[in-house]
Amino acid sequence: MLKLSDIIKQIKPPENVPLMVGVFLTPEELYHAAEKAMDKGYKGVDAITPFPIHGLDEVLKIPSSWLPYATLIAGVSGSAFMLWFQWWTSSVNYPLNVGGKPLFSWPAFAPIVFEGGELLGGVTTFIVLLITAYLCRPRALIKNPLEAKFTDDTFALLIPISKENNQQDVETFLKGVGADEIRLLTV
Amino acid sequence: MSFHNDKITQVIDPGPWKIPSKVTNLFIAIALFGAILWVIGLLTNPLRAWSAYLINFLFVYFLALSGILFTAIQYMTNAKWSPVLRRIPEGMSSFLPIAFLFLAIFWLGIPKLYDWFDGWENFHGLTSDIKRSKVTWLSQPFFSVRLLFFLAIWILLAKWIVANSIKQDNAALPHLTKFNTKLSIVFTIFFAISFSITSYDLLMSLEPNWFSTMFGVYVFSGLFQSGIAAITIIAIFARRQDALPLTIKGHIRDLGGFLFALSAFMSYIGFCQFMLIWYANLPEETFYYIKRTQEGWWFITLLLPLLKFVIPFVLLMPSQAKKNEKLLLFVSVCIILGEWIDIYWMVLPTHFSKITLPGIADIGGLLFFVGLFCYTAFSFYKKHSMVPTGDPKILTSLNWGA
Repeated sequence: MLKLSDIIKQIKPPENVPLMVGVFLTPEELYHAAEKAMDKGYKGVDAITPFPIHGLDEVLKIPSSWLPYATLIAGVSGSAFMLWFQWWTSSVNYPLNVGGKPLFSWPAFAPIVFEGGELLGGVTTFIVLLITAYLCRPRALIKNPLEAKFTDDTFALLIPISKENNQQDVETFLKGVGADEIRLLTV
Repeated sequence: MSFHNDKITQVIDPGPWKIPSKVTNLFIAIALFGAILWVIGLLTNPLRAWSAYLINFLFVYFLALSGILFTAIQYMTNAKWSPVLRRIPEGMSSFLPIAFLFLAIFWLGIPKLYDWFDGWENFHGLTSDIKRSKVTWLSQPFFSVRLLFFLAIWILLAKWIVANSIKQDNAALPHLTKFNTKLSIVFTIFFAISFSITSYDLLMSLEPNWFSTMFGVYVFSGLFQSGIAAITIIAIFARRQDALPLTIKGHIRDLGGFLFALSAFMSYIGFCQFMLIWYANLPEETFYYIKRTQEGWWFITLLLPLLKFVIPFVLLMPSQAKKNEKLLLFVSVCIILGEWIDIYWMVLPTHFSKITLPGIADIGGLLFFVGLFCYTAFSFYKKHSMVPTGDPKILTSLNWGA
């Protein structure tokens, strides 16, 4: 089950810590490097891949996203609003007799309830993701933008440098697991 | 695809499912017991007994058909995840030749259930327009022959596909997979048309006045949903008894995804059929639903969306739920129960305007046909290796999912 503290951690902007980036050319290499990094006990390891790699979330112990809950809440509110709105228009504000059916006939309202939930759920998910993943910041504010190749054909393993993760240590580790390229990102 | 270190590089043949002959004998005993109950029902109330025959026959008939349909779809789409599961639907389809026998026996019950069968002169319920268009289609010899003809073609194609698949076990014959793909395309196209006609003939013509263009796809969606539920149940038990490799957890999760998606499909089709008839409000269409919402049938009508949509949809929504085998078993049983109630709901209100709960004939018929179905399916699993080891895609399939 998702904890509130996890959600807050995910919403908070990432701290500006120096990152060691190991670049890999195949998903297999990245997967095995991630497994070894977790075995070594590095904290806060993350990865950037151009496509989802099955099982990588489990290896890196990345908690499940809270985004579906936002979708659920928005979807249910959209449906509820549409149901209320159809009830209000067709039986309160402007009662209209359609073929002798009751003013509030739920089967006729069902498609709109479904569409309303779907629309608000979908749009809300998109906007919430844009905001919380920092995808809509002005370009000038983005320091050290990561290269476009990480969304195309290369795979990156990110290990933050901290007290627990010694820089020298991390560098030799990444060399040891066969990273194609090793880079330090500082802020 | 996952990149675990323990990648499977060699196919280990688990062999046939070691089912003790006690179990298969038990299925036969259940079937015999059911047959006795059904005969008692036949002696007391023939109309009720033949309705029960139709309900339970169609229930297992649909399960068997969904087996070969699932196999054909996997071949047709060149699916890489499913070959390891393929023996399960193949075994389900081995009931089809026996279904031919019981479809032929049903000929004895047809005059009792279908009012038009003894000749349209005695049938006064139709307006002359509708009558003229239906008299040729719903006429005795044509009706019986086309139902048996469709089933014969299905049996031929199903036997052919399954035989090719089994031939691959002992020798590397990759060209048979290509050939099966072609057979599957023929089967699926033929099935789409002939199954719609079968559902019109066996279920919709119980009420010759009524018509719904959604009916074929409605019955089909029930068939597909209950078929996937049956495959899920058998796969879980086979894995627990080491008949299938322990690593097929990912496959069972994907079957859960199928169940989730099909619950939405089923409800969409069911609601479409209901809503359009309700909205248009034409007496020649609405009487079907009016019959099924009065005299206590309302209760059964409410069970359908609950068992076939609400329970699977809500319970299987979280991704973790699809990995929970106990939950998957519960949902699958609900769906199969829902399918049985759905056929019960389509057949019985025609002749019984007051609600009738399952009686001795229904239970007898259910035990008989399910016992027979399980006997044929499990005899198939006992005879053939549970993993199609010769399939060209078997290694990809074994390594599927995390």
